[in-house]
Amino acid sequence: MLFNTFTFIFVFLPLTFAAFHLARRLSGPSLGVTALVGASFVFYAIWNPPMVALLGGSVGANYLLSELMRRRARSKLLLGFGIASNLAVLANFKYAVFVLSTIEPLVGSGLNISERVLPIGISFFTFQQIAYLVDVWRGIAPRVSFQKYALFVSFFPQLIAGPIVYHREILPQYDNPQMGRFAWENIAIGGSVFVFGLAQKVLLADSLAVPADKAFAAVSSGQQFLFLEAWAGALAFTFQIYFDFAGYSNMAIGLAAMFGIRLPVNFDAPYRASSMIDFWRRWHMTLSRFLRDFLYIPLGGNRKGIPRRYANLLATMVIGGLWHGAGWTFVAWGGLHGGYLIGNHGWRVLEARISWIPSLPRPVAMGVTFLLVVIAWVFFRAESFASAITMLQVMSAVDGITLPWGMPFKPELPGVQYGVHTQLRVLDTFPLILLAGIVALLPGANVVFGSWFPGLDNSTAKDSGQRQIWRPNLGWAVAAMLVGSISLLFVFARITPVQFVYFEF
Amino acid sequence: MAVVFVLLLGASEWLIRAKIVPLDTGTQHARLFNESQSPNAIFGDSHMLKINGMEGFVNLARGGAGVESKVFAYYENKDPGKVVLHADANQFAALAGDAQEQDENAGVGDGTRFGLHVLSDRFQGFILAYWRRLLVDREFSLDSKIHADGAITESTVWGGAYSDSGRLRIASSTVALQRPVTPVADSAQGAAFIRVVSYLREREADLCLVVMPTPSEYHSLAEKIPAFQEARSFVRDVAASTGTTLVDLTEAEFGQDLFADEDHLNEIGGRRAGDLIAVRCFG
Repeated sequence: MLFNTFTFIFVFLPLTFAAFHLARRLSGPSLGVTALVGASFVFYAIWNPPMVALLGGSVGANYLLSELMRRRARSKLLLGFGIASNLAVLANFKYAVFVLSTIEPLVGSGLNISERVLPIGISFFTFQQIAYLVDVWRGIAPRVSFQKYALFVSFFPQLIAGPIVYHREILPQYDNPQMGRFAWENIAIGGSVFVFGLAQKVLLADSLAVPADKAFAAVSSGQQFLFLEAWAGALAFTFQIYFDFAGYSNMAIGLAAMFGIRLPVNFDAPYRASSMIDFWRRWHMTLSRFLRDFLYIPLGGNRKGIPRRYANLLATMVIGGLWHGAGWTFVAWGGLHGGYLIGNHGWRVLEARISWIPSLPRPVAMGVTFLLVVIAWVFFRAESFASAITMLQVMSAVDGITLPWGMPFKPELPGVQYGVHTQLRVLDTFPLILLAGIVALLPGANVVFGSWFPGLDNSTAKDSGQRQIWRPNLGWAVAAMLVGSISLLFVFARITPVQFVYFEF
Repeated sequence: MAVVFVLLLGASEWLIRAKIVPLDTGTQHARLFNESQSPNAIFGDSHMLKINGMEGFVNLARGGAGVESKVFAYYENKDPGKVVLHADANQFAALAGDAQEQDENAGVGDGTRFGLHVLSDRFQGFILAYWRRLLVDREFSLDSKIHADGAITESTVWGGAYSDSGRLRIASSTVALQRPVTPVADSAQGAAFIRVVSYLREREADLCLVVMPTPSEYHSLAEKIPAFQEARSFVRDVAASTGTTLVDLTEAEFGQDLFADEDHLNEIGGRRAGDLIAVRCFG
């Protein structure tokens, strides 16, 4: 089920909310937790009922394994079995086709390659449970009831696209007897953050999806397209994926807050980043820290010399790319980001050692960082490696610049031609892309809501020095109502709702 | 929030009723289809929609739509008289097959669901575009002219804004889109065409099959494609085997100034086509 549907907003959410509070009132927090687990499984079942067995099986098996590990303290065998089993399930659904189709030319034909249904959220709940098993093995995960563990994994706001939560952030909240106590403040703040995310998703991301899809479809089908169209497509996707994913994360945080649960902040205005290191501290923050804690550091992190450190960085980012999707374009995306991070760390070393190397002014650094991110997104979105290269060739104007024939004025410039072909109607879409760019450069929800933001550990917000805008007052309530209603009108007018980009991961 | 949303829907309903429906060619077409008692009618796609000025005829052609169920529905309770039926090769294209698969009668509904336009498939997906038009352009206007007989035409002249190569490129793209599927006789579109002709002959309609003219770029490109030739041959065979009149207007004189775009006549061209059809089919 999608958050941006009437069924979710007007049926599932109110019913779940009522069931949760009724259960809590009748029998205390424990039954409330059980009600939320039930609702979360229903939420998952509405997408694909048979897949509930997979989710239930995964939750049950991991819980049993964690209990077993507690009895056989520090059993590497059990931990290895747990990690391998989780990864095997993930690989079966997500990577089998990619691996088989990659090795097929090497071993000759005859491999049985058939597309499989990718269970939504499998990457998220798999990683979350691996992290839990590791912490049980380390002896730092407290014992919890099965209901609480099931809710930790399956809580519907974060089940299918994160944020990726650690047990130490969430489970203590379930143990708090005040958890989920009905409070108007939770409804007001959670609802406002939800509306903020809904607007990001349906007003911006879904609108940007149109030019982005057209551009990338044009390049993959071999159609001719122009310099500005290529940039429009790449920029449209750059902002689409941000508003889509950040919008989803804000909706998840807002929904959780309505139930009195706080989820970690996942985005912190990433396109305001002034370096690639900064970018990864602002973009999909819960994945970044997971990769750091469970991949980069176990690989040796920065403790084994500079060459090994860079190799670890590259490996972590390539695996992070593969986590997003099974394909060489994702490998390229991860590899590029790995390269960027290595370059960024190298530059820092040079800056520290060579006094005459000047630091880039912040606007320039932001511009360079943004450009690098856009280039990487082309690989992420393109349907093939060749399509990405073609797109980047047109964007880089290696074959000259062709501007739309329909431009109001056409000055004669060296290397500039004018073509009649306008696949995207770029002159129409650039105002939207420009608007999205301006909004993307504004502080995120975590800063707009400031100290009221119901995300965990918001004190680390990069732009926290900026003034908090939102206040719990009538004016903001009316504004939220209006924005929410207009967003609903957008949902209504799109007869087929557009899925969240990150649902595929 | 739900209350404000319902108010927005109400405002959208007003917008559609006040600004869109009066300009909605679909609504007007539906009214004509449902209310006309004329036995004489023109059926086909957007090429036929341009035919205007034929006295005693209603033009029930519709862009992008097949004709089969429309013909059956229109003559369900009345005897057919003079009927002009689209016989262009493009009606056998894959795109036309999609139109055939959809129920064309959906196109002649009243554009409401439970009496509301906002809930109708015809308007719901365009609500944002209507609001954008109202808030940005502040006016609603139609580039096309709706004639009393149901024809919809444009007064523009094809090609003025484009170079020779630009016109050829656009025509080439349209020809590719309208390329008939082959073998035409075995296609769903071909079978539908035979059913419609047979039905009208059985109902003793004074039937005339018409091939509409196209600009020189389109015509010269289509002539070189065997699928177009096969489709024309198929139409000739159907006409001959059923004893139906076939009028090929591609052989008539239609200069560039009589076309609105790369494959449609403009208002004057549509009038000239109507005059020629009246004489050659029923004269």
